[in-house]
Amino acid sequence: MSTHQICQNWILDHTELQPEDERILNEHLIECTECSTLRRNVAQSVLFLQNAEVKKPAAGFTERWKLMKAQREAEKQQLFKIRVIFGLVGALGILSMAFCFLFFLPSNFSHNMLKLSQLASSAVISFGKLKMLLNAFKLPLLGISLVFFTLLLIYAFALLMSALSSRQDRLRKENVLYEEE
Amino acid sequence: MIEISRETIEIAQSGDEEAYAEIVEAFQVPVYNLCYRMLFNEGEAEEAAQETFWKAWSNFQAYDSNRSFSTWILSIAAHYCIDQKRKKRVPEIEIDETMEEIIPEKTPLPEHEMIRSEEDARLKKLLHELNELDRAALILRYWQDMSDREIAESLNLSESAVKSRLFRARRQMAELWGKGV
Repeated sequence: MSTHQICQNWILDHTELQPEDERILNEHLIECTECSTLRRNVAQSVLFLQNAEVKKPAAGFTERWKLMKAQREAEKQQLFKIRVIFGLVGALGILSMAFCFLFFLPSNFSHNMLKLSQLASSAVISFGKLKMLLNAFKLPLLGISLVFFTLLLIYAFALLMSALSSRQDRLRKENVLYEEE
Repeated sequence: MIEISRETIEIAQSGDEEAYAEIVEAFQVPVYNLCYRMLFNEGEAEEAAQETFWKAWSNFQAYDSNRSFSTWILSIAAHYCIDQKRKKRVPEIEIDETMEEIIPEKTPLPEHEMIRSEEDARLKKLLHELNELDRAALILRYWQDMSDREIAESLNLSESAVKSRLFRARRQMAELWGKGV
C-alpha cells in the first residue's frame, strides 16, 4: 500500500495516531493537496455534525406518551376480547356442525350405536325413535345454531369496529394535541 | 450520556408506570434527536420516539440489566427508524424545496432562526445521501458519543462493520462538503 493510501485511511479512520504516524501524515500532507483537502473536509464536516443543534420534542412528550400508552393498552384489551369471542364463535360453530352431523346423517355413529343398543336390550328406548324425534327438530335446531352463530359474528364485528373507531379517535386527539402545542 | 439509576430501571421493569415515566422524561431528547436525524420530519420523529418507548415498555422483560440502558433504547429507536425508511420509503422532500419551505417569503424568520434552518437543511443534505445504517452509525457516534462496540451492539453489527461503515460515511460526507454542500 502506498503512503498516499495509508494516509487516506488514517484521515478517514478519524482516530488519534501514534506520534510516528502523525509525523508521516504531516509530511505527506505538505506535498499532497488531495490528502490535505480530504483531511480538511473530514474535520470540518465532522465538526459541523458535532456542533449541530440537538433536536428536542415539543413540550409535554411524557404526557403524550402516557396518553398513548393508556390507549394502546385499552386497544390491546379490546383485541383480546375480540380474539376470545372469535375463538368461542369458531368453537361453537364447529360443535354445532359436529352435532348436526352426528345426529342427522345416515350411517353415522348414532346410527351404529342405535343398532348396537337394539341388540343389547329391547328394554332400552329405541334410538330409532329418538332419531326420528330429533329428526323432526332438525331444521329448528339448525336454524337456532345458525342464528346464534350469526349473532355472535355481528357482536364480534361491532367490537372490531368500536376498536378501530377508538383508535381513529385517539389518532385525531393526538394530532389536535400536537397541533395545539 | 444520560444514565438513569439501576434501581429506577428495576422498578420500571417490575411494571411501575411512574418509574417508566421518569425514564421517558430522561431519554426523550436523545431518542427524539436520533429519530429526527434519521427521518428529518418532526411528526415522523415524534411518532417514532413514542413508538420506541412503547416497544421498550412492551418488551422490558427482555432488557438485560447488564447492558447500558441508553444503548438498548437507542438501538430500538435506530432499528425502528431504519425499518420505517425501508418499509414506507418515507417520501424525501427535495432539498431545494426544503429551503423554500423552511424560509417562507411572506413571514421572514429572525436571523438566528434562519441560520439554524440553513444549518438544518445543510445537515440534511449531508446525511441524506448516506445509507440508513451508515447514517445511524454516524448519529450514534457524533451525537451520542458511542464507542464502536456500543454502536455495534446497538445496530447488531460487528465492530469491524461499524468501522468500515463510519469510514465510508466520513468519505461520503467529506466529498459532499468539498462540493460545497
